[in-house]
Amino acid sequence: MKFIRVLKNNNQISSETVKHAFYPEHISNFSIKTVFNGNTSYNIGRRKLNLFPDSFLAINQGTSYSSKVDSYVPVNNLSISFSPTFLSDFYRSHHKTQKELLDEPIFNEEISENFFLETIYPFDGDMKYNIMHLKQQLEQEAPDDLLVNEYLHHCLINYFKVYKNEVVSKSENLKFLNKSTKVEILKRLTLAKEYIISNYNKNIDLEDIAQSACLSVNHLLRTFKQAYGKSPHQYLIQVRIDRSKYLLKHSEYTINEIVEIIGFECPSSFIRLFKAMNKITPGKFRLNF
Amino acid sequence: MLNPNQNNRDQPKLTDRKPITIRMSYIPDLAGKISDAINFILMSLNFQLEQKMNFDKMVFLEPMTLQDSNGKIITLIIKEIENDPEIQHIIVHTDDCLRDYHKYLIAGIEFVNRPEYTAAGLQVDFLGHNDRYTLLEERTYTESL
Repeated sequence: MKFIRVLKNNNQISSETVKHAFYPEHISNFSIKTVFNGNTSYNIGRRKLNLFPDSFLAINQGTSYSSKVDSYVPVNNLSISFSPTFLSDFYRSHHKTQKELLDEPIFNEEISENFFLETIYPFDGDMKYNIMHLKQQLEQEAPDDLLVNEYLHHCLINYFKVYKNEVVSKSENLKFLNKSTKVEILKRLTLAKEYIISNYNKNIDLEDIAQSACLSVNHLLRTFKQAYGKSPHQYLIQVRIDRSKYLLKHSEYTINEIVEIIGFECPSSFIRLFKAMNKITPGKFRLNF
Repeated sequence: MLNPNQNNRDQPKLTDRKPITIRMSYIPDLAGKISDAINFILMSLNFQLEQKMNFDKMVFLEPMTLQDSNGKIITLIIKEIENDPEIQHIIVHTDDCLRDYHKYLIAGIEFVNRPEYTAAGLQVDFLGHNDRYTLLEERTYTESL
């Protein structure tokens, strides 16, 4: 299934289900990218990200990127592109007082290109509910622009909430006095986190993660724990277990196959860790769904 | 505003429910003027009366099954009270709050706020005759979808 919906205010939603596709380098408005099964890889400058169904990708206005799908199973992508005016108006309406909005009702200044931290965020909670509803409406109904814009307005509300949890609060966890140092460290830790999420099923080590973030191993270990409350290795294990839960719920792979897919060395260590973290075995977890 | 405790008591947990297309929801809220409330639900919210049921009429007044324009079926049980307070609170459940908010907005329903996020999910309040309604989409945040 494929659709593109362009609204009168230039917001745009597109979706496509493909096994193999390459989208050459291009520039877009601020966009939110999701994938509903399989994965899509993105090249943003020198960064290579793999997007899975439990994450969404936020790309800033003006960023140049390409993407690729190469899969045995059909991969369903959905992309939402926000017009600069819509984004700017949303931001003002949530950050200005009523008086300021009345004094200056029309404001054409765009949000700067690097305003948001361009990275992978968890795709769950309200963000997922709203995008799933929007997707369902666009696939099954013919919603008018007002309703689609209402969904998009709430996508931005949800995105700001996720941004606050994932960026602002994590930045506050860092024990540096200098604000610009905090910002720079968090940017580099984000690269480390992206690297773990994108390569969770490979045999990666601390040196690889540190190199991806342009940090020394010791600096990475100290700051990663401060920001995210767990070591890079613990974070990697969490990503692998979360992916296994997704596969247990949404696929028919055997547990041995899942162990291989998520990069564990043997089923027994996977089952032991899964049970320790979820108080239930993978087999019983699957039966509950 | 929805009383979350009341809602938790009256409704089974979302995670306990099976994914069925027809959802039965029992709403034992009180409505001051029953006929006004029923007329509002049927005429303004575009529900259709499916059937009336014979429950204990000493407790309930005319329990009925209603179907909304999305094909969802609810069972509405409104209890009449003697004192007839000015405003009662009725919760209308939905599986997509924004869709129904938009639909009712176009139909001329008077909303008292915009959809907002609470611990129970996404909800918005509107007025109908003497009653206050909450359109509620329950959401679970404990486990990924």
